[in-house]
Amino acid sequence: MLWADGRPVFELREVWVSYLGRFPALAGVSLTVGPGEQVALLGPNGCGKSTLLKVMAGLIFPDSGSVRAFGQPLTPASLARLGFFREFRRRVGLLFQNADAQLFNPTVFEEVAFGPAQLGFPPEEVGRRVRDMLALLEVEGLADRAPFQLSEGQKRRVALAAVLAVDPDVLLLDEPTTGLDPRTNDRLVEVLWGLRRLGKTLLVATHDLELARLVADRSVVIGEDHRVWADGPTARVLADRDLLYRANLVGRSWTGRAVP
Amino acid sequence: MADPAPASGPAPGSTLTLPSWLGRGSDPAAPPALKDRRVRLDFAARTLVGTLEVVRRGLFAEELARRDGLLQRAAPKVKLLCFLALILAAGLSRSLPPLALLYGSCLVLALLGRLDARSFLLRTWLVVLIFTGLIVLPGMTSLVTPGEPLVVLLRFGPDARLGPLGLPPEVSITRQGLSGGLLVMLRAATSVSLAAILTLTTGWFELLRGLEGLGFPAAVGMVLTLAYRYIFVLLTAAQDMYYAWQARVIGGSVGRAGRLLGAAAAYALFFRSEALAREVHQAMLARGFRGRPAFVGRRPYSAGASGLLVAFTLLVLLGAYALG
Repeated sequence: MLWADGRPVFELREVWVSYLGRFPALAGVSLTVGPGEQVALLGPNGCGKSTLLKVMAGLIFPDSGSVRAFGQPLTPASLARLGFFREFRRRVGLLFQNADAQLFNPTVFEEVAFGPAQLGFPPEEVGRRVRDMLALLEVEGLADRAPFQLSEGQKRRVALAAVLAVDPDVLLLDEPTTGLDPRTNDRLVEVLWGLRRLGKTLLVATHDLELARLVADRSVVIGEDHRVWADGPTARVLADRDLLYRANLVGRSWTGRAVP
Repeated sequence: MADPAPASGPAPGSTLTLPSWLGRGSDPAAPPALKDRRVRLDFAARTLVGTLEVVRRGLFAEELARRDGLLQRAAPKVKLLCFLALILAAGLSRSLPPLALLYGSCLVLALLGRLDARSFLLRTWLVVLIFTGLIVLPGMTSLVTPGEPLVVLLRFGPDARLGPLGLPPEVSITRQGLSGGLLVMLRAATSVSLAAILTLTTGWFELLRGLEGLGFPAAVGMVLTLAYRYIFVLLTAAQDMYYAWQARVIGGSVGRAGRLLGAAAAYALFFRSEALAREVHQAMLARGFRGRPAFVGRRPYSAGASGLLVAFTLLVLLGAYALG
């Protein structure tokens, strides 16, 4: 394994990202994630959580600052090397916030098969993984359906199945519970607990504090100024109601302040 | 959280003041001309709804492609070659008997693909009659193809004139015109039917695999795949935008405002599609895509089914050659 020597999975140093050179998305974010950690990235809409996940997935590259993955620089040049590209893509999976962006194949079966097929798994193994993942996420009856025919909850399950089919060591999840009904939400939490038992590294970007409490040992709060405001054990972060209020993660009722 | 202001007017200590007109109800008197006007689905909506339906049907084809017929079990490359050969033969046929044989073979192939006969015939003949029939119809008359009259359509009598133009004594469907028209329509029906059977009984990725096997670039195939998938997403977005607009104007005038909306929607959709395209590309990269898609077959192909299809195709081609 790439981190056999105990090096961090991700090391970000003073990462700055802006869109069109004008709109800041990340303003000097530094973060280190170790193997097997479960981290919640908490922040309001537009604070840069999705951008941070895409930086860690090697899809967006910072304007300044450095990103290392498994001890190696994560740059366009390093990802242009086939060996590192394949290894990195096999080890890191990203669940997009927009399920429609992620489900681009004609049928659910082909969607889940896409990742393993790209990475060169033999067809029998691809078929086995697809069947197992569809069963795990309770969507086996949808194999022949087109993604557009699915409900939002079903799309999320299929998208997660598609990411898990590659068996990544690191899972980056962008707002995984948005639009899910309670039962689907519970299933997702169960799957995440299962992945934690397997020692997977999880990074979950969310503003769902309950999800953070259930699946993450550590929480990182990103403020509306696109900087890291807090980084510590989830129980301690969630107990700081003033911090959560200032970070626009809870309303006034949470802090005990008067609601007009 | 308790609702602080169930009644109108600012609650004590409230930082939020609602506009005074909110809650009074809005019922402006409609202009008399609009009162009895029928609200109807206009051209833009009909086009959108119709296009969405076509795409939906296209995607339904994936489910037909999973049926367990002989055509579904044949290898995609073999199937593609056989169908291309039959389409080519239909294009080259110059008389009715070989075309009739080729069209007959289409019906057999539709049965082998376990297609619903009624829906298949309706779909193909509707296309043929609309796109070919209307063009061929004038060619069947004595105006374009003189010859032995079969049915007289109009009688003008001798020396009839329309202004400076002299009119023929009668306009009829001629035997020669009918024969030529039937030839064109049967050729179109055969080609459309073959293309429909091929696409209905072959999964999209299998079709691309077949094309790739014949030298079609994989990257172009991937672009087609994405266009095929996202046209539906964007059409649905366009439809939602249109309905949102309709909901706010409550069925009022369309005309110029409608055209402006169309332009604004096209502009918004262009940017949405650009953003979506970027994100889809990222989603593909994140799952290991490097410019050349790897397709995975859903079922093992049967050499027997492929062999039977080849034998059937050769037999039909030989028959068509002998007849014409």
